[in-house]
Amino acid sequence: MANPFLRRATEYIRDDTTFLEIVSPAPLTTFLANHPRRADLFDLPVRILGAPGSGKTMLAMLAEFRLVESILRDLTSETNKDLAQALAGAGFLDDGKPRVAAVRIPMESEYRDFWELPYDDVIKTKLALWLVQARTMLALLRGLTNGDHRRLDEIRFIARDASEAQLEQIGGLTAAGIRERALEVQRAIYSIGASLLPPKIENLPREAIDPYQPFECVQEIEIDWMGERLVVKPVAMLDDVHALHPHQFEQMFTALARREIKFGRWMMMRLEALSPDAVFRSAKSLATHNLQPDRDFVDVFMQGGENRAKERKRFREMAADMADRYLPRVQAFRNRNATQFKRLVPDEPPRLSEAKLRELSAQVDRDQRRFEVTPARRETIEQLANAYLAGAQSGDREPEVGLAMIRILMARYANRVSNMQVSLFEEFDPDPKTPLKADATVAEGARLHLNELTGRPLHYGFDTLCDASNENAELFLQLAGALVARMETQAIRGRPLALTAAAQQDVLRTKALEIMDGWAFPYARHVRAIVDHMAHECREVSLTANARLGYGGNAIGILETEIAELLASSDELTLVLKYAVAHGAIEVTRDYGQGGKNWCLIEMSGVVCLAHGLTLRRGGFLERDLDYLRGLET
Amino acid sequence: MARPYWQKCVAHFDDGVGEFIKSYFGQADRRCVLVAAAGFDPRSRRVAGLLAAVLKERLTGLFIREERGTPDAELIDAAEDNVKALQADVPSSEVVSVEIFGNDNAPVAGARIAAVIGNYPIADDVTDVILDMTALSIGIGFPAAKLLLEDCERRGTAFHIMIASNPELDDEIASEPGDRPMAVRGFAGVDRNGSALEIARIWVPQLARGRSSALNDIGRSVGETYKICPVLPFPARDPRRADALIAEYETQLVDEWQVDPRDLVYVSEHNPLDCYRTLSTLKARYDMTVDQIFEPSIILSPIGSRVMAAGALMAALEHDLPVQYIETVRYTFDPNKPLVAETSDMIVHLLLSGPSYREVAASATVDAPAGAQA
Repeated sequence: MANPFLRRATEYIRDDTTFLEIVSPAPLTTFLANHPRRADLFDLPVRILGAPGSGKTMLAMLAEFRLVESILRDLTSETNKDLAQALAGAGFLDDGKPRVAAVRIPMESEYRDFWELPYDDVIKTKLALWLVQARTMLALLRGLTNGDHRRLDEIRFIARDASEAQLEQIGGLTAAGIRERALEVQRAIYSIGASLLPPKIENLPREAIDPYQPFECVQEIEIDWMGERLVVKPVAMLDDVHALHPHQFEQMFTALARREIKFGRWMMMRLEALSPDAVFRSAKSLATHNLQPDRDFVDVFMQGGENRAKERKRFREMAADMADRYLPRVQAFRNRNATQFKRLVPDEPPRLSEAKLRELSAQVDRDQRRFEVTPARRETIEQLANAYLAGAQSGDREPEVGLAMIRILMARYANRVSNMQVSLFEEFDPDPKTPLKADATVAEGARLHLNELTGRPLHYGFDTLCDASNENAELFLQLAGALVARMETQAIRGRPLALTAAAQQDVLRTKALEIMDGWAFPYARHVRAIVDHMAHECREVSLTANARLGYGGNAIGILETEIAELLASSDELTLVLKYAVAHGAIEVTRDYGQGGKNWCLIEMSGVVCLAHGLTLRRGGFLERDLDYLRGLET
Repeated sequence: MARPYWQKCVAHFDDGVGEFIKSYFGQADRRCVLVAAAGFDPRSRRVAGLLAAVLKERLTGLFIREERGTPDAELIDAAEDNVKALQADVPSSEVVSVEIFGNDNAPVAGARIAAVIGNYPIADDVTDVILDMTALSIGIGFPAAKLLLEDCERRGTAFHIMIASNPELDDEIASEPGDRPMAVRGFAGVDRNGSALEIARIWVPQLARGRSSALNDIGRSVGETYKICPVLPFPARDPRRADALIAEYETQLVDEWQVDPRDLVYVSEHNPLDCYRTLSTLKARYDMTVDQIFEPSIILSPIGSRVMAAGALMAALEHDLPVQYIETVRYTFDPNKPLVAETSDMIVHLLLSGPSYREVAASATVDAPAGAQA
């Protein structure tokens, strides 16, 4: 039986009904409805940026007029009602009727191939741009006539003011004329792009080089909507524009950013389309060809665009919604009426067995002697730990956490008094200059230590699953899919579906390693070597007796000055890091101030943290330099 | 262009290839151009060596060196050794470097090889052009084959494809795929955008060990499909190879692509004509089934074994089928590491065009290997 969680790409879903059943409206609300420039999303050019699997294509597919129409024509289902509400929130509907007619145009590598033609850049750009426009017009007409809801002659295009002179070049304002002309342009340009030996410039067919600018001419489309006339705004959603050559993209983007254009135009792309500098996100690098973000175009970041804590919280809601939609599609869950995924991955803390607890207690006693901590001091430390656990919000307040906290605090105490003068006549038990403190960082460090000392699970629970997904929907589904597979096994064996913390950790770690083993993108081997080494060091430092990194480390910090220099160079390391970011192996935080210095943090992604047993809390890092990274690369 | 004579395509296998080379290329009036790869692959010298031994100074070579970023030092050394050996075998030859990626890391191999082949002068007295596909990547080999075949058909000269195949060695060569699936240059297929009928795509990926991630990306780029029909090698030298691939691709077959087990396509690992004929039959039957209902479209992704890829190449040329692939950024291979199981190369020869078909088309026999479906 197929596991729908593991069917990652929406491109593989073969029919609209299935797609609508499982698609979550959350991205529409999250990225569009709440966008500060929501009002301009259909007027200015929009760049939608995200890592692979962040849901760009799903968003575009959901917003297509074809699907919007099928949603609105059947509002009896709850799913469609939710989707309609989200579409309205994002501005696709007005008063329950479509406001825009959007089409998704995949920007396959075919368009990039035009850049290899032996012509002048202007001609090459024109050919690609006209092909995009011709295909958009054809797709629009296909979308509007889909399902025989309206005939071609019931569609009328409305021209932009002062564009009368250009109407002839687009085939007039009738749907039939526009279709015919678009087909003509498409055929002529396709034959040039697909040829192995391109024609000489003087032999280019006229249909391919005659002016063709429907985006500039067409402003709106008048259609028949359930018996009445409705005016909608056309929107072209160009998917995967990162496939274009950077210069080609610049030229096309500049052409599409012309203020005269009233056609909506969205460009969906992966981060790697940007330069390494932009992937590392310095605000100034986002400007392009004299065009300024927010003034000339709008950026929608599907990851990493705002406060990270807020983003994590938002993703958890979206992921829960997605998982709950997928759940009933698995027979074992349907039969048992399991509707909430969150309940199946409880964050109930694991408990050590009595024997293991005794063993741990003995280990802490041994460490007390090793650190030369007096019984009185131990008692004070125990009080600190117990007081923290008594008032802590976390659900994990098991006795073993307290013991491991005591062990860390004793080590810290020993460090802090190590330079003090020992008295010959009194018991050596001075108060440290910096008082000891038991807080969440010590508790989290203690859990990591317990994982090493006793094998106690570290990664479990729905929030951990979401955090490990780095706000990437596809990654979340992959990890959740592995958990679902284990739950199905439980069902077959007649056991409860909910997985214990140990089972969850086992599944997540195995899956994370499988994902990393399957990394297949440019420089994947280098990236793997880098993250494996970094993770190993972070784990080692996190496990020092005094847990000096608190929560534990999962990043390295490079001085900003060094990173800026690297990004300005043509060093291959920039490409390695760019692909690592773009494919979710690492995350980058710029301008992180600590110790009076400005750092660029290279953080390991959730999957790497799962695989190597690192904390998912952010902030703990090892100070390193570029030579360190270069050394790892080889 | 329809090539009905491919139904009786002249093909030779293993020892038969050696005999064919001796008898056919041994004729004193044969003047040949060999186009082959000059890369790290240890099989690169095999075909050139066989031909050079018979043709000697009547053989001219164009050796393609595929340049990909910064390969491992051992692979560069292996490639250098192969170049020297090829030049020693074929003194009248030139080595041309072809950049596989542009300055934006986009695959540009097709356009570059087309320019190389388009500008390569083939003398009028050349009677045969041989493309050795053994170590050429699809992005280079397919466009080269198309251009050379069309040129040979124009001139009326013979066009041959030769391959030294070793599936066990293929398994030892790991590849790091790029991130941009695309149509092979010249193999974009028929433009169906103007069709009044809905397009129903069948994607035919050739499964190969360690390539699941690449195939997944290719599948996504194909978009919505009516069916996915994975190709598996059977009969194969290792009879369990198909089973092993099914196990390796379990997640894709069951969860992602949701392949109906009846849609698996089995083709011989040894005989490219089996692959060609199977795909041609699939095309004919599919066209007939969806006639007037859907616009049929079959998309091939022949990554993996070159023998099976050669069959897919013939089907793509014959029926103008699109070929979707993903370029390799880097190969990992230790030329000094002994194979897990020492296996010999299987040699295949195909004659795709030339005067022979005018004379012997009717009587041409296919010398198929034992166990292969001819």
